[in-house]
Amino acid sequence: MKKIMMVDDNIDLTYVVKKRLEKTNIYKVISANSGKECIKLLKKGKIPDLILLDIMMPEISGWDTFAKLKANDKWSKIPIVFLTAKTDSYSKGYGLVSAYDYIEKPFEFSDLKKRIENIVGS
Amino acid sequence: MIQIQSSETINYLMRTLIRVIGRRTSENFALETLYSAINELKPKYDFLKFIEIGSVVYSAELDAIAVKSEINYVDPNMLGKAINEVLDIIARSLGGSSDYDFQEAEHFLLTEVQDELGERHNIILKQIGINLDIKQNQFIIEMQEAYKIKIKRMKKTDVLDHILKSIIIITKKNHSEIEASKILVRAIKKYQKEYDFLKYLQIKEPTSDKDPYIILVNSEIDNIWSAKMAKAIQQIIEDSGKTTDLKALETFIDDLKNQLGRGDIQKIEKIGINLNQVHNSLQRQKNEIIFTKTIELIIDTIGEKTSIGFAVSMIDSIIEKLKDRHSVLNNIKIDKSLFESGIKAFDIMQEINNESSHDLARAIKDIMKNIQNNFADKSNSFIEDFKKKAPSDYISEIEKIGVNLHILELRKSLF
Repeated sequence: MKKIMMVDDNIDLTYVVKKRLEKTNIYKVISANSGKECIKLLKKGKIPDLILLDIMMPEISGWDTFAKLKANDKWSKIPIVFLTAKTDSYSKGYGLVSAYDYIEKPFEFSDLKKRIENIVGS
Repeated sequence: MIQIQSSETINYLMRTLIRVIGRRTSENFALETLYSAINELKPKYDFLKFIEIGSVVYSAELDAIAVKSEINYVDPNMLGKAINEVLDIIARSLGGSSDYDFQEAEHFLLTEVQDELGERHNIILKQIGINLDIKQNQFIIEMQEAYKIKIKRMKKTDVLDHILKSIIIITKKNHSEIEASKILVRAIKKYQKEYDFLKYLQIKEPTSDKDPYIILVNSEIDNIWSAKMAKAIQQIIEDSGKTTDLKALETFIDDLKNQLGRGDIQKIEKIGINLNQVHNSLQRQKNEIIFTKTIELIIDTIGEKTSIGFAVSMIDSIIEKLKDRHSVLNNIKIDKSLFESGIKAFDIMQEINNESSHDLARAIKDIMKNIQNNFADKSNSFIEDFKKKAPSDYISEIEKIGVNLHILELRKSLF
């Protein structure tokens, strides 16, 4: 099973995505409600195959969380996909330079699944 | 005892001394110096009474000096010894005169006296044991030692304080006072690891965001001053100069000199800080400065829309990706633990200055293209924002090496 970590402060959305992805029996979803929690889980050794990362989060933004992940050799190779309501061309333009993908909210679940598959396989 | 007709030569020597010393100081001063030297030695060498200095008031005909013929009957060895001591006293008193620049004083006295005496008198002086060549060398050595002691005793605290304050004043032309103080603090901290004595430049953290850093020069600096310390200060000046805009870079050292004033420039040179060397070094570091400025602007442009940490991590990944294609980028090291500190994460090695500016331009263009490539919206582009932030002198400088931002924009609009 592929492990996906979803980092988002919207607990409802995280719950729905977790349920839908785990229903495929291909993915196991680890939820983190903030960038801080994401780092905490990684430090505990919960290393996923892919991270879905929100941008607008309290305390540590998705941008800074991204930088922290890239600064650590153990985690820097984990593919990151931005999953965000930030739809301006700057965020998307810059996000796509470094991240594997940039998915705008709201999204179609089928599209999300397809784009995850493209990166980690099905 | 061999009798040498020395009276004429001694007379001529005395008059020459007055003339040579008088040219650099005043004729009164010269006569007084000679008068005191002879008087000082009279108790030891009674025969010096044959050299009469009638008055300390100088007359144009030099009639104040008379050397009696009885001097011809004095033991030449004793006479030579006495005159040598007279010359020593004069040389020392000139060396101690604040009106004399050491570099001048060391050379002029005996060389000029010897030249003006001419061959005949020099031979006679040698016969009585006065060798001006040897004396000149001894004098230079003595003066150099005295100079070293003088420099050691010179108060460096005030000069250093003036240098640091002047750097901030000049940097303020292109930055806020807070930023200017940060730039200087960054330069000092950079070299603190290498030079432990820089701890004597005490950095006072600002009490609020609106205050600048304050740098205090500890008086201990005076006791530990060395050539190494001078080198460290030169490096701090150089690093501060690198942060000015490219146009100001050309004039940074001249501005600093103007700010310091002639008096302090001389002091600075005497304690081993060579500002001309810093100027030349800055001129050789254009690649480093252009690249640093480019990275600063990219971080600023992207960081404004995302975060500083993200901007640096992005540049890190792009540089890593492009290193195979652009060897010039091997001169860049990025400290991942400092991503969130912006430009501080970058160590741009001096070797980058040995690379061709065209190679640097190609690398910069590729970095820009990599960032710009993901912009679907033509009206909101990275290059557009970058241009808005870049100072005009920077844009013209990168255009000179072959980075044309307008072409990069056009290229994007074609796809």
